Amino acid sequence: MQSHGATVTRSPQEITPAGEEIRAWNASRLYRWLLVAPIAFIGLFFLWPIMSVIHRSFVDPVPGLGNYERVLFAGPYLKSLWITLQTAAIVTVLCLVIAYPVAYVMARARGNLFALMTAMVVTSLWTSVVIRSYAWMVVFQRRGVLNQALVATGITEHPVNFLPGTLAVNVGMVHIMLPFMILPLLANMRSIDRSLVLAAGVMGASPWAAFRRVFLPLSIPGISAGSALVFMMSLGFFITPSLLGGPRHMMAAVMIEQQANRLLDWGLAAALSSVLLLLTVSIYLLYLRVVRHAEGGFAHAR
Amino acid sequence: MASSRQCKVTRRTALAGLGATGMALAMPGILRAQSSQLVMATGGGKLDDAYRTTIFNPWKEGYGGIDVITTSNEGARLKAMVEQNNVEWDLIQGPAEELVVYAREGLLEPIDFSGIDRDKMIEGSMHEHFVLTDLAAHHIAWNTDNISGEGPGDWSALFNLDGRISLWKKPFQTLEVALLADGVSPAELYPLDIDRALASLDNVSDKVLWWDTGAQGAQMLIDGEVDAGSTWNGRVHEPRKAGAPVDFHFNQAVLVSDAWAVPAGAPNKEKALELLAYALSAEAQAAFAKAIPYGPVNTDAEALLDEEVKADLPKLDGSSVMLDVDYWADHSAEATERFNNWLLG
Amino acid sequence: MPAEITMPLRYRIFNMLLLGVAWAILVYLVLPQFIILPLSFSNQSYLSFPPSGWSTEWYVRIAENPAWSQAAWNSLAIGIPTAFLSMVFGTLAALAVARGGLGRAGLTAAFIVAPMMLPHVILAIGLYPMMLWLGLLNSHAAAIVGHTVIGIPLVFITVNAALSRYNLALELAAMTLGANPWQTFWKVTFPMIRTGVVIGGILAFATSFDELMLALFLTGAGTRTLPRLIWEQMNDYLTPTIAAAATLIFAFTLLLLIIVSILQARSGRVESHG
Repeated sequence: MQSHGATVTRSPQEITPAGEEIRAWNASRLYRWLLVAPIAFIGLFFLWPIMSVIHRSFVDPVPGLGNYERVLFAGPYLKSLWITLQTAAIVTVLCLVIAYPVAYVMARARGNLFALMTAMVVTSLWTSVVIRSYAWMVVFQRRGVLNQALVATGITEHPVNFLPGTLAVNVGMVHIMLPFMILPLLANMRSIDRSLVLAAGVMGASPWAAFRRVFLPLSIPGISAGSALVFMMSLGFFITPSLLGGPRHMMAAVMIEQQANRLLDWGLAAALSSVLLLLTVSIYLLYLRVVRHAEGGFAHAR
Repeated sequence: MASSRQCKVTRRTALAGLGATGMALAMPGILRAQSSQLVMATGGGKLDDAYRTTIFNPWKEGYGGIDVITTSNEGARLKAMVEQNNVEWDLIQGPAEELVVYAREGLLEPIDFSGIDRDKMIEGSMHEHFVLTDLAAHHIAWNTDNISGEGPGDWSALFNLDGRISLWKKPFQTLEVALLADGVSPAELYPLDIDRALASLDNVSDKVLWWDTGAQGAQMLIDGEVDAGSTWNGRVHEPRKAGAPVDFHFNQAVLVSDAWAVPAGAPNKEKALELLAYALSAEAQAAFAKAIPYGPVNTDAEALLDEEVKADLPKLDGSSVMLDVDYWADHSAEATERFNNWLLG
Repeated sequence: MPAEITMPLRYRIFNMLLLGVAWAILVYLVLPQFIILPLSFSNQSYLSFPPSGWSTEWYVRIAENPAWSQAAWNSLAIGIPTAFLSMVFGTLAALAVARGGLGRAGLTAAFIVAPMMLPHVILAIGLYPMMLWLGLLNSHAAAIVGHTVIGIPLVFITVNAALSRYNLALELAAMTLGANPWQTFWKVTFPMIRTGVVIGGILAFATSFDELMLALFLTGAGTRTLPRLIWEQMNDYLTPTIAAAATLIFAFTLLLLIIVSILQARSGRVESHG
């Protein structure tokens, strides 16, 4: 590891009397060196190629801001960006609400039970998104499994048109993203020391108060990780909204693919992508602040 | 960029990383030097299978033993290959309205027609940069469980149907369908009146289910999710034969075509053109039409087909209309933008 | 546990409800498999549910067509190195950002996760000339590089979540007690983030295993992956073949998980005896 090289060259002014501080300080210097390899990799295989594509948005077909004008002021592009962000946000919230209790229960489970639960999450993750989306079509269609059940039990007299619809598309999208929320939550919750929660109980806190004051704050890193993953993965939704959603579920990824792969207008595709990237990076930075604030806030409450 | 240098790097990496057979599969470029192989980019699936059994294999046996390997025909990859002077494909197949866009982008070689008997080909099938190789239909189909008896007779009947209908979520072909439904005669269809087409779609937008992929469109009809709708005949022909509750007719069909072209800078142009000429021969065209119900573009092929097969083939008659690829060459971008804008309401 | 025995009734009811909800959601996760499984044994050439009769024809077809096993092999040969590289790079980056005391930690984090926010087709267009130049085009390596770029953020985020400030105190304690950075990492830090690393790796593998666009651009006819093959096969109309393929992948995963859990149980027993 290149980090070892960093410790050897230690300049004198770094040595301060406070032993613990200097260790921490040196450790963080060491840790900073770890960034070299990943940054080099991402710089080389992401930043460089992406820059070369985004460059096109300013020169293809003619130099200027024409592509950005088209994206921002005309046509369906801004609308689809808005729909994309909206969809990602809805899926994230739904996933969080649904995943939290599952992860909570899984984090307590042990042995074969835990293995079974993990298997259920992971096998769903391993099944092709395209195939899963078609499976949901089978569930939700007019003569589908759900409608058969509804009519047979007399809940509805006639089959309901679930397709295309909000319910079907959200069930399909949440299904795909749920493991991306459950697993980070699980990783976090299993590292939470349950004795802290028990201790709160012993000290007279009701289970609900112990959960709210101790467990929930400690699970914030898991919540923030899962939410960030799901939100960003959801930006790339492609086939599921087209199979289960209506015409208004036209995601930015679909439009970018259309421009890049069918119409071969790489300038416009690149402009649309860079606007999407700029928007989502801003959202992410804002989000990091909020999360830090939330963690800090809970830390004080403790 | 000197291609010889790249080739060397490729070979070294390949030898280091892969076994001999893996290399042969992974690096078509190496085998191409031996000229025993052509690479063709296709849409895959049944079409690919039909090309293999009715065109590639007979051509290999009869004309010089060259294998054809196929790969996926992504347009953006073609553009990247041409830009980088690294064209790996000798031929590309795709919907004509897409290939015409590629031609405008300069991604296709002008075709040398010297090996092709142009007089035998139906009108409008030979273009400077690509050749139509079949006639498929974008037509009306219906679910026979939902609709007993005859389905909607024409597009306007489909649009007036009391029930749910399906349409393709693309401007190509769908705008044509919308105008035909609104009473525009086939002769006056082009240039498309996009405003009128979108207004016609406005009338049905509440009952339309939009399909994105052909497989999805066929599945909607088979499942009875919609009562009737538009589809391509290749997608419902076999399911109907296998007993799926779906039926269709070709009245007012929009005839669409697969086209073949040679990418600009293709490594084996001559061989590619030889294969193209064979694909257009009466014998190959007839064999292909038997494998997959797309009509031949070579008029001599008709004589080689029996009535039973011919009944299933789309053809240009008084009611059908041929997709105007030149119109789409000029208007794809604009129509797509307006159509998507309309979809998003 | 005594604390649970003394719990009031309403909390026990709540607990049972919670358990019920959790299981319902887990069943929801595997539900599509119950659709896919019968479809894969259908005797019809088109998809209809429930099937009118049964047949194993589609499995025979997969077995007879070498393209499927070739694609499965390619997907594994790309997915496993992708998961490994993502785990290494993602963990390094997470450690650096969480512990490096960087002035612009937020921006650095955004840079590392940015590949997740971009449609893959754009990355594919950008990577194509580069892979060509490196002579990697159509090799597994090209797809591994592309998939690692989108896999790193997954590991970065899951590991970052495990590196809370609470853990930092333990690290500092270890170092104060004289452990060197290397020992501190392996003895203190890594055990705390291990689950995060593994989960990030699982997510990276799953993403690579189902990725289409980069595969279409960077792999060739001989290195095509399962999603690419499924994509090519699905072009006309749906046949039960893809359902059979999905079922085989499911069965394989299940088998793998069973083996892992048996091995874990065994090693657990050995540890407790030792």
